[in-house]
Amino acid sequence: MGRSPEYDRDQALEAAGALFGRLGYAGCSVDDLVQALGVHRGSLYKAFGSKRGLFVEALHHHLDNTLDELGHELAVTQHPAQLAAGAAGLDLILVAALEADADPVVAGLLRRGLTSLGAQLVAASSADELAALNRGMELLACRLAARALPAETLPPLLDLFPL
Amino acid sequence: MATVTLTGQTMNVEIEGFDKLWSLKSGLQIPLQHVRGATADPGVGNDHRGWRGPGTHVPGIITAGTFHQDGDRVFWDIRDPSKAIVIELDHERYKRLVIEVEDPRATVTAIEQALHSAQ
Repeated sequence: MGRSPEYDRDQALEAAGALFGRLGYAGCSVDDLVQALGVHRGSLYKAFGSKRGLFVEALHHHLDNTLDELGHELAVTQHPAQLAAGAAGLDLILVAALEADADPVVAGLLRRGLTSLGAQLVAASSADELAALNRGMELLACRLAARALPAETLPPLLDLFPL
Repeated sequence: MATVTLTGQTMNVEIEGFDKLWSLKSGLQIPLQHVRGATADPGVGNDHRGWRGPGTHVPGIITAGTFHQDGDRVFWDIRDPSKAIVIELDHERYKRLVIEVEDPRATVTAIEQALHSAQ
């Protein structure tokens, strides 16, 4: 077999991240995860310890891998707010935002992720971490708006987020 | 039915109504640093692939006790699968506890909070 354990774990984390982003944390059952990841239940528990453990690792993996790409895309496009609206990669971050008050590890990852994402949009001269975090939160708000509101209301709303 | 209490650095699991014929202790004290995590998992009793557990309780037949799954020692005590939680352990005699609690969500939350505090 040519596949390394690292590859399989990364694949599992990506699948889990996509599932959590789609179903939310509480809405995602171990049955759902077992089915989506194509692993045995026992293997899931052995590898990650718990659903929470899997969520934290999936979030970490997502922040390390997907967000850099997304941030780069946002930085070079003329309408980052529009792009953020269509960025499904932000959905896992939205779910994490809802879990953050119950979990300091998730809160820490979220803060770091949003700050590094927003940092790609603030002026190069500004090293203000808080400004970067605010930008990151605006991106998240754009994604939330795109999910929650009808398409026709979206352009005026995105004007409120001058990214 | 089990009751999980958390004191300082220890997780205490008490099994209620344990048949005295079983030579097992009625309670387990586990250091929090040996607890890898806890999950509310109502589907645990129905999984038949690669998880050779005893399933859910059949009325009149005691299925609680120690079982071996894939080389791991698992303590299993489930009557109502909707109330099942799975506690994964490390450096312990048991690899996994699959137990029934009154409030799965609250119990898992309490264990997770205790784990965060212990770090």
